[in-house]
Amino acid sequence: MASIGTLFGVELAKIVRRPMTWILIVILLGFTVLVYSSLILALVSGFEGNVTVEGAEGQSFKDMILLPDGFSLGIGLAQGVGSVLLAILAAGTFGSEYSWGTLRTMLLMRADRVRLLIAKLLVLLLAVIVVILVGAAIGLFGSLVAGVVVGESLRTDQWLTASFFRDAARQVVIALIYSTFWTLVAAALTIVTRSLAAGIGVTMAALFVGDFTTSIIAGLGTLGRWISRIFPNTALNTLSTGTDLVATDWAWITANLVGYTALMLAIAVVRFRRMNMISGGGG
Amino acid sequence: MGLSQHGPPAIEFAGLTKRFDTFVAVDRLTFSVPAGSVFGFLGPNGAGKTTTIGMLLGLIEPDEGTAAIFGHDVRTDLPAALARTGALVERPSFYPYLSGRTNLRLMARIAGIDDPKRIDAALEMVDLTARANANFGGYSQGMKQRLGIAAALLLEPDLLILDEPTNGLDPAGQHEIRSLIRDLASAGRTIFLSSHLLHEVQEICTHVAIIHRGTLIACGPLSEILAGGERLAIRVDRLEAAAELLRRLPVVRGVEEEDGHLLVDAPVDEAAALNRALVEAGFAVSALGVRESRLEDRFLALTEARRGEG
Repeated sequence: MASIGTLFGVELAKIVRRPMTWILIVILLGFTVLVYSSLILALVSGFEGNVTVEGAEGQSFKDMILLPDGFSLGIGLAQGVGSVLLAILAAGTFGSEYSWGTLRTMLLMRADRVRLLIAKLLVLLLAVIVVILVGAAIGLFGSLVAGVVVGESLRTDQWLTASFFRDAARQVVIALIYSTFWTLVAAALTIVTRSLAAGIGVTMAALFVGDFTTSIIAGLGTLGRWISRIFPNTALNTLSTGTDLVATDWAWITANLVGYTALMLAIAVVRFRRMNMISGGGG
Repeated sequence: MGLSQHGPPAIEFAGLTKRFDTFVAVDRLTFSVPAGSVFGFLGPNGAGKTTTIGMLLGLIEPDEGTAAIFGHDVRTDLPAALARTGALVERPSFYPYLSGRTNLRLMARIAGIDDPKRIDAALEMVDLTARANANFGGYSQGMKQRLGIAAALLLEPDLLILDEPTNGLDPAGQHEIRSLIRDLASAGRTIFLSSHLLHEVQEICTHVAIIHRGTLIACGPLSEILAGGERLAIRVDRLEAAAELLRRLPVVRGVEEEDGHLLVDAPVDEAAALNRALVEAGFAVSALGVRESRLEDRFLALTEARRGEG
């Protein structure tokens, strides 16, 4: 019976060769380059006398793109856009296999169901790490390029410091948690529904409608804030934006995310282990 | 090829049952498949053939009963049960963006097969070497079926389970697959062939089981299933009047007209008596012979009888 390592290798080979993966990478890179190019162009035109970017507003705009704050832009893009694309990739990893019937073929090759599931999730985790690290690299590189283009010094005194790297590492870890969570949601939902479209659709709804709904609930006073903490969106957004989190915040955020992650993994494993892999039913 | 008299049967079902909500797809199925046989598993569409095969291969969980392959219960020891088994179930399923060869390579890795010659040999066996590097998505239905069989053969199985392997193929493709199955059987493998193409099964199988609405209605060597189903084919003038005369004879169970002949359901050794009765009544009998029993007729008779009961 194939080991998790062997199955991981097979899954990696499949995801690397799959056209969908490269389409998603091109979308991510294209979007990021577009955002940075637009901002750099706006910055350049502002320095050439355009009234849209000048004075204090111009300085704040400049700080947003250049290091040290510019790093957050790249990570933010990877976390936001990357999470959506990773959710699509996760849903595709399971949903397409159902519709193609290839899970059945793998099981007939004596692959163990639980090992197969673990291998697939590990490959998705690797994809999350790659996307976030690429986002971090783009954030760093894009901000440096922006500095050079607008004729600023590289301001190394402001960002080549221990505190910058500490903060950058914190942002990377938070982005990893955020993207891993939504990737896992998409994977679990696709396993449960056996549908690529349902996996993507419900995940996007949970992500965007969930954010919107929890922000409204949180605005309804103390009780609303407590209720909103039941949802993972609140935990993830507090983690992403919170700067002065106290011990109690960490406690409920951890309980929330660990609880939901355990629940989704359990559902995925139980459902995947017992799943009917014949599409025809009673035929 | 020969049937093994020693060791456990290749496949053994005992009380196997599967329900989908209130619908009973497979109902207490009990029969065994002798090692070395070419076993036809027959039933109309929706009879429960694929569900049975799914349970046999661990793809569907049964509600009751057991299924075993070479003595290994698939519920408690699936890896051992599948160790000597290759299968093509429902339809050949591979990655459309990968070539046939790459698909087989990935499947070989999962199965723990390191030897690339096994992949070449499997492709060669199904005559797919020339198109092995083309993407699976661009394959014709026949090529897809052949790749599915190649994947099953990669495992060098003693038992090959083929679920409707000629589905969607043109007559030439069906002929090709039948020849391939014969070749595989002649190498001593047990073949478990699910099909609703009865002439196909009659051509290549040694044993059959027939299920209808999830229930076993007949099982045994093909010769036994067909036994007693022969009919006398009589060419005679004035067909209707002759048929009327024959129907009155006590040994005749039924008479049908087909292609200018009368097909008479009566013991074959009564042929001379029927001939004499016709001639004495003034009919001109120009030919009299035995029409071999067809699986299709037996199948229809058995399933129609069940339909009547239902």
